[in-house]
Amino acid sequence: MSLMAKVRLPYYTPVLLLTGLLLVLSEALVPGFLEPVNLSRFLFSALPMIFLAAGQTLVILGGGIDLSLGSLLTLTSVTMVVLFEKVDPVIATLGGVAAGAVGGAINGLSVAYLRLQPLVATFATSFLFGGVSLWLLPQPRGTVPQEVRGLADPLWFPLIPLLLLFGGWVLLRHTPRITLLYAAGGQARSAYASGVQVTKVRFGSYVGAGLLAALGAFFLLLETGTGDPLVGQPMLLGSITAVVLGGTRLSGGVGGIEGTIFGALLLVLFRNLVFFLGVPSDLQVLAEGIVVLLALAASGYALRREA
Amino acid sequence: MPTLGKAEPLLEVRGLVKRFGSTVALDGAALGLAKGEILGLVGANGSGKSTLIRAIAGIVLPDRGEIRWKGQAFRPRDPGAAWRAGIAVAHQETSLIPQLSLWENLTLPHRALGRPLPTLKEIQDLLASLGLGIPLETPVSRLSAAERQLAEVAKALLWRPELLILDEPTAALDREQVEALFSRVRDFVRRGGSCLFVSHRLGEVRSLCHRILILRAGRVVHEAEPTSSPEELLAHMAGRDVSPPPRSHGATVGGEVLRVENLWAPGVQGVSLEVHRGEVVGLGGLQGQGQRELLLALFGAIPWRGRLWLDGRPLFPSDPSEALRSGLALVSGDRQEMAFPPRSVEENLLAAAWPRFARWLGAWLQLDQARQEALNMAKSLDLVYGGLETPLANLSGGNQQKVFLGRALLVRPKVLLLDDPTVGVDPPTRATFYARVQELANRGLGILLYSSDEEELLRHAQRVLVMVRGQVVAILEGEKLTRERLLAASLGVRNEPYG
Repeated sequence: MSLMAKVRLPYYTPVLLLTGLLLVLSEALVPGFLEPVNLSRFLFSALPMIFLAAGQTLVILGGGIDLSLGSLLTLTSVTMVVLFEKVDPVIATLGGVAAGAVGGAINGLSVAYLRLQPLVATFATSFLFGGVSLWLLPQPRGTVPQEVRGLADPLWFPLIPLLLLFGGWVLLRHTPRITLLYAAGGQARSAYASGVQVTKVRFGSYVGAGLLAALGAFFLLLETGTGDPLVGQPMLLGSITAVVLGGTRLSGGVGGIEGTIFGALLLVLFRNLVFFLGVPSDLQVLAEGIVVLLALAASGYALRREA
Repeated sequence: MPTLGKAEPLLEVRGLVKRFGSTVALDGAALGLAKGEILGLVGANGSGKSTLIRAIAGIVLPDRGEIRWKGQAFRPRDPGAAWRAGIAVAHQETSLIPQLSLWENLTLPHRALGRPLPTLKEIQDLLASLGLGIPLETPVSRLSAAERQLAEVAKALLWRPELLILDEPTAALDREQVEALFSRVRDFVRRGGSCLFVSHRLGEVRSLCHRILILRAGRVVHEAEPTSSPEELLAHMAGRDVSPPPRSHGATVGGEVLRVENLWAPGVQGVSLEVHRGEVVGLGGLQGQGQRELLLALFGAIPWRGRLWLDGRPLFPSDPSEALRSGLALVSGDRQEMAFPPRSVEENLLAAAWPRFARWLGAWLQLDQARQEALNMAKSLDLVYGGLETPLANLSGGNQQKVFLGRALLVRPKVLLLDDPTVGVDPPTRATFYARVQELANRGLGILLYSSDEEELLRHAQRVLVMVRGQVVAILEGEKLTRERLLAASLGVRNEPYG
């Protein structure tokens, strides 16, 4: 097949190499980092960010942005915790996922159907979701049932969701329909003229983001074991950083979740490393800021060279 | 040639009307297209060709009238409905997504509408027949203008439509590519397809089409045979029945105020011209032939090279603020580029003029004087408004254009650049706008006017430079400045391949 004739490096090659480099660096600076126990713990701790950023990727690919995704992660995790106290854990988890879908649908309605600015609309809904979270759970409390937390006991556990996400996305990328998301985000007008129902596609991207945020919330609960009504909001900017680091363009239409997975890994790895090196906490933020700036500059540079 | 026009038409359009604000794009357009026919559609700028196509393609919703497809009423709710019905359009501006690969682009309608994807072999054969030898995984952003245009046609053909609509498909193509495209289209029709071919190139229309319809001012005014002469087609496009408009100048033309030598910019290829005091120089030609870019380059808004003199002094505007300081002001018809909609009329009028009122290095502004001048300007422009404090957004489009003219004048320029300044403005406001422009010329300003409306050029310019593909191909003045000649030069009738 001529499509496969030439081997081309995937778009996420740089972030993949950087992640590898940082892994080696971590082992050098913190001996034992690459041992299975530590590696598993690291991957486990990165899962919430990976899923949150994967959701963000869907929205950004479709030409939007979702500033409410951190709050939506909070809302879904709080929903799960409250439900854990009352119903069967499976139903409780599904309830949280449903909350994620509903939240995503509210975003999708505002942006795709009501045509509000994504930045403004999702900024507004971030307070909506945050407010409902505080109403459901005014203070950190609640416990995740032991049988649920037990899921995460095996060392290989974090690999399962990671591989499912990666593999699932790669499969999806090979279905004809996913192109519509890229088309809508690349040039909405042309996509529309080609028969793409841009509105529906955009709506779908926000719902998908809500679902992935809910999964992120689930993994966060597995790790922390308790509910917190303010847990997700600080993760928002990280999710956007991970998307950019992963090679997805903020302008839409280019990139993918594979890259975002490595982008999120890179981000969490970097945070760990800075922490292990004993950098004072205020400087941690500074260091992260520099990384984001460099990543943006690099992608901007690559873009200009292409044009 | 198949027998035409007798049987039930495949596509029929009756009394189609579409308005955009105060502009009437379609004014009762009607046509019938038989199966197996290649129907040509020609018309000057703004005759409504694009709107007609977009109505058939489900992109714009007509206000009135009827489209019938295979004998049934056809009201496509969105472009997808038209594709489904078997109508594929290759758009002039192309509907390709630059970020996606050629393969993804060609199959986008299939993906969007849930049809099985065509085989690679089918696509490659199609591309080969169009002379397009590009690997399918290439992103469309890397394609040249000609390759994109061919890819757009390939995308439409790949759908295997019953009706293929080609909107200006040859603008970027060379002669061989045009030949390849035409033989592909003829082949498509031989196999039972039908085609609506829209073009400015009369020679091409005559060589390809079975029948030619001429659209003017939103309606079909004439049906011609492909054997008709270009002159006959031109006459109908121009509308000879309308008497030529009176030209309203006679001002004494003074010395040279702007001189341009060999100016190059994106879309502009070595233009030289001069404008004299008291003169309105028109830029004509089809839309998108570099007229806007020429004005933007002179205004320093896009990079350019070449030589420029204003009032005999060399000038190198590298940004608009510098151009304004030197005495060049621009009024664009694109309100998005000019307006500060929520700000007041006063602020919009004075936006560019503040340096004139600044004293003490800008630490002191002569507010009273500025306000007085803004008020005088508003009066002299016959502005219809609720006072200087009114937000600009509350004014009609035509009055907003007058405000932008006022803004340019408050800078006290030597040369005024007008970039299609009255797009979408109603006729009475247009008239006062141009009356004011004429007055300015009489007072010794040099004016360079681009308008997509030939009427305006004929009415208001002493001299018209006709641009084709970034170059000045003809200079018309005096007796030679007629509608027919302007149109002929715009369409390059004399030197086009099939003329």
